[in-house]
Amino acid sequence: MNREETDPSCEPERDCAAALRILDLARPGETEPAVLASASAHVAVCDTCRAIARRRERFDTRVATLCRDVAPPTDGRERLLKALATAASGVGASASADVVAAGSPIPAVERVSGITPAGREADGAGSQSRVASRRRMLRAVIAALLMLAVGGGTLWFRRLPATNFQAILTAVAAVNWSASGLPELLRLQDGQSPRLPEEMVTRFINTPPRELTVERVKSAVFFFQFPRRGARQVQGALAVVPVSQLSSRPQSGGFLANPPLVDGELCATTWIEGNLAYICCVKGTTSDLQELALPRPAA
Amino acid sequence: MPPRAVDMNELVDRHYAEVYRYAHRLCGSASEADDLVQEAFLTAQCKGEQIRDAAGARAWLYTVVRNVYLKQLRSPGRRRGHALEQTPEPVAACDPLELNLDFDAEALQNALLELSEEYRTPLLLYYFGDLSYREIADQMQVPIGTVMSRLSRAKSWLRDRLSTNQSAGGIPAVQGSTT
Repeated sequence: MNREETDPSCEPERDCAAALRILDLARPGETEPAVLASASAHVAVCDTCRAIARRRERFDTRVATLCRDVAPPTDGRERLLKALATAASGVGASASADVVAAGSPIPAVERVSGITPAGREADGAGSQSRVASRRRMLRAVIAALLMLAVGGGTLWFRRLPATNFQAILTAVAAVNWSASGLPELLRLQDGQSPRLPEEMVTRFINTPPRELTVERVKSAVFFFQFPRRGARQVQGALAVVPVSQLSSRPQSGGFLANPPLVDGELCATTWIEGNLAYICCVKGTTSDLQELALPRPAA
Repeated sequence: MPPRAVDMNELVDRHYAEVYRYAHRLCGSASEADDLVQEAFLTAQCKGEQIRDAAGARAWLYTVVRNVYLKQLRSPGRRRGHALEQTPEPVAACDPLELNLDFDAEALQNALLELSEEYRTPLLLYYFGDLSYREIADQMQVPIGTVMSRLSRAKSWLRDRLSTNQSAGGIPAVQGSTT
């Protein structure tokens, strides 16, 4: 493309290409400040490069968001913990012990829940033992199917309740934000600890999460306040709930990746990190909420 | 001093979802991602002393996921993607001012799987944003300059690929492709 031909304010083509190349891979703390400054200086005077850099930044944000837009299986964590417990108790431990360290290719280990080749061949070559082996396997399969049926039925009946973020927001708005009447909550219903998010400024949060139950779903709510210009204090609340317990999910993205929702005196945003959904609201404006956004890279 | 035991529950709580996402984008399959993640955490359980600190745990798990994936990739009949050198350029390079932002997760996944692993891995680690360029280089055991160069080319290719609406048919079929 000959963008420089149509943009008289542009430096020679190599400056455009070099600036865009630098900005394309620039990361805070990893790009030489002088190099970044020279690229930024070029972009500041070149309309075309500025437009391209912005467009690329939005493209990168879109790709990064979609990369994370994968919902882990709802029972994946539990299955994993079960497999780890099984391996730790000895079954499959020998296979796992063969695993080579990170940094070098590692051999595949036997699935802890699978039927190992060794097990299949354990009965030797005789036809009688093969028949016995097949019978044992058949019995094992039938037993496994029965266990699956019983387990599946139990899970179906004990399925976790679900709610949606609007209901949580309404409930948060309705409680006293001094939180004195709410008990502490150290574990969510699916067993997770309510972690603080990585996508927003959380240094103002110094108190443990409180329990707020909405439609039988326990959400953990951190109440906090932070200073704004003129020594004004803005009150905020951050609700945390497992994604698996939301009947309607917010988009993944990050903090304020989606337009904030203004609801009465509250301004709120929702997002997902890992298997937790976050709902952050402030008693204030969008600009107050934006105060909690992490600084963006200079590029 | 004996190595500190890793709290597997905490490790799973902190990293399961993100490691699963990385594995899924790397291999493009939910069931395979499940296996990769299980292998990674089983390895962590056996070799937990290699995890120096909590902050480094995710990078370590990513490394194991990639190693297991590479091992599986070497088995016959597996789709390998293309080295960029063997991948035809998209029909036309996109106009950088008209960069498409309307693609969905499926289009992204398909494009990622067209890339060979040596380009896909740095791209994913870049977009997941957890690792520095140095850490990506360490994980891939290549110089940092190689990481930057692969990343630059892969990003440029991805932009063109997702902006020119080129169907997967534009890329020659891979022999023995299974997925």
